[in-house]
Amino acid sequence: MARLDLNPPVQFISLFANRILLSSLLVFGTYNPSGNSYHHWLMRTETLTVPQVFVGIMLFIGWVTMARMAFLSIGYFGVGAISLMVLMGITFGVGLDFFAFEDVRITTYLVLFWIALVMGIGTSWSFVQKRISGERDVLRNPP
Amino acid sequence: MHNFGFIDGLLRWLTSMMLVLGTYNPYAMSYYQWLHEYPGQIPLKITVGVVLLILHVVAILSSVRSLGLIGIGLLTALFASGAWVLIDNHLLNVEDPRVFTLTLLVILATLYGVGLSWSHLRNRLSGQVDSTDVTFNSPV
Repeated sequence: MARLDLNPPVQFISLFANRILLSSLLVFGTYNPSGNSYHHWLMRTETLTVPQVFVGIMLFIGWVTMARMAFLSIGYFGVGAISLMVLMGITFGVGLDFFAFEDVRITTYLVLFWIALVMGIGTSWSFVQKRISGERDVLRNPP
Repeated sequence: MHNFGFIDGLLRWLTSMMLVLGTYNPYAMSYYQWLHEYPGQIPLKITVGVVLLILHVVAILSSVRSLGLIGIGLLTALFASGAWVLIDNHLLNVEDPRVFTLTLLVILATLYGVGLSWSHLRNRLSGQVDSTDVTFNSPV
């Protein structure tokens, strides 16, 4: 199934969009300021109920797998590079007069989307690397 | 190119279900009951037993390799809490020891199924490939 000599074209837009959507679902499902999230569900009840434990473990598994896959793909350098690109995007937007510095607000939504963006691009990166240079990311000792 | 889809995962889960419940289940015919309640047919019993043993070893080793101890622990916690949700809503009656045994067996079979699918899923989701270094003699 997974032949090493095959290097089919990759649909980059759907690749990134799907994975960023998936990681956004995870991040915003765990916490978001609108009041409908796992965190707020936990805060609403005094004691931990059984469905909350179940959903909590499910979210935890999602976080472990997604964050680990992303980090294995891009590492510290990738996380730094994507964060730098977000900051440079804000700076260049100001420099090119798209908006003023006073209008830039680092809201909770921005930070959450930032985390989702890093996780989404991290999980997509192995496909991009395989396509552009033919190098596969391999886990030798799968955990 | 064939992407690992829902059907492939379902097939793996059904196969591991058949393997586990065929080896032992508290309700109907299984290898265990055949061994204990029906005399004779010793060579056939030995052959079937060895085949079942090989299948279990393959399933356990690939589960341990692809999920690891952390993954198996997390998944067991997930399935146990799922069963707890069902028990809490009176959908599962574990007072009956046969239902309790069946629940444990289904959890084991689902672990086998996820273990057999996880390397494919990881490859589909993130493009990373699980591999085993066969020049290095790892215990699993």
